[in-house]
Amino acid sequence: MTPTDEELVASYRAGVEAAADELVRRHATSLGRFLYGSGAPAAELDDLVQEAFFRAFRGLDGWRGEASFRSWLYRIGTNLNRDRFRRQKGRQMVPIEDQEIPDHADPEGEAGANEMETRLLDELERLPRLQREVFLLRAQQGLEYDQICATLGTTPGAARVHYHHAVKRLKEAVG
Amino acid sequence: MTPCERLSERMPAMAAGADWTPDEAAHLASCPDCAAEWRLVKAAAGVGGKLPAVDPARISARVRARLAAEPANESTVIPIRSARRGRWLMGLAAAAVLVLAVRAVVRPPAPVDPGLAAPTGTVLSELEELSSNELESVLGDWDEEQVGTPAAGVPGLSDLSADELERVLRSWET
Ligand SMILES: [Zn+2]
Repeated sequence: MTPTDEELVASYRAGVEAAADELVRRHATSLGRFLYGSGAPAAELDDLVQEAFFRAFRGLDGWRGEASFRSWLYRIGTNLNRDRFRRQKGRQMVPIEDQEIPDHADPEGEAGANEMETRLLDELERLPRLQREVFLLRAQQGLEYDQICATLGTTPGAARVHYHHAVKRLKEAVG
Repeated sequence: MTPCERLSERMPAMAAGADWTPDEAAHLASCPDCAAEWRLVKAAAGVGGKLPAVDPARISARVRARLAAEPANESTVIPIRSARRGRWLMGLAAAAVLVLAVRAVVRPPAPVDPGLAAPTGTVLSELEELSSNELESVLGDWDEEQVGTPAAGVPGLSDLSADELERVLRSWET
């Protein structure tokens, strides 16, 4: 039988290092896609995903299993991505209207994506950060609202509101 | 729950490959709103799908090497339960830095300033009236202003590490 993430975490903590490989194999690609949709440039995904796993494994003592391992990992990845924006904002003197807008001038990343996906990616950049993250966790990652709450530290009601606001704005913009 | 809400609930699972029931398919065909949302969800499910793949084998090799080299360190951990409090603290710390920044602009810094507690207390009680979303937007607006007007010598939130923010906060909790 396939072990759950939580069983793999327990194995890893008991010294089975291969359990960590399996957790990375399960979640690295989808975490990378989530971070990309959230505005991380394709060229930085590898480093961000690596850092998220490193911190997740090293910080397992702080996890205590209240949320799924995936929520824990995505929370760390989300925080790393937000920090990346803040650092970028501190470095570049960008106009106010461009604040919090991710850096997607990224031809490599968008190559091959269909037109609807490309337009959606552009419009996601214009959403408030929480709306963008909730929408992606739900629509791209297929998470239930309680998992979204555990990931973003919000409430189920707020997550639904963010999702519906995002859908409304994206419908108007992308159609 | 309306038929549209029920359909919305099912969309992520559908995007992952499940099938609509005949009733759901009929609703989708006749409801432009649901059809538009479904197009969005399908497009979202494809976002990043054509990226040069993140290589899990390379990532685990690097992560394991780093874990072996750098032992666990509790202070880098952000426990799930403290996340909301963390955001609240960030808001308060932003207010603290704002107070300090305003005072630095209004008059030259003095080595000891017994008057600091009064304006800080006012900001604190106003902050407590705000929801976490409002706090976050206050913090966001203020952070953006700092980027736009980096007055020399005035501390900016983005200049502080999480530890420094915590210290600012603790300094006026006591
Ligand atoms: Zn409908």
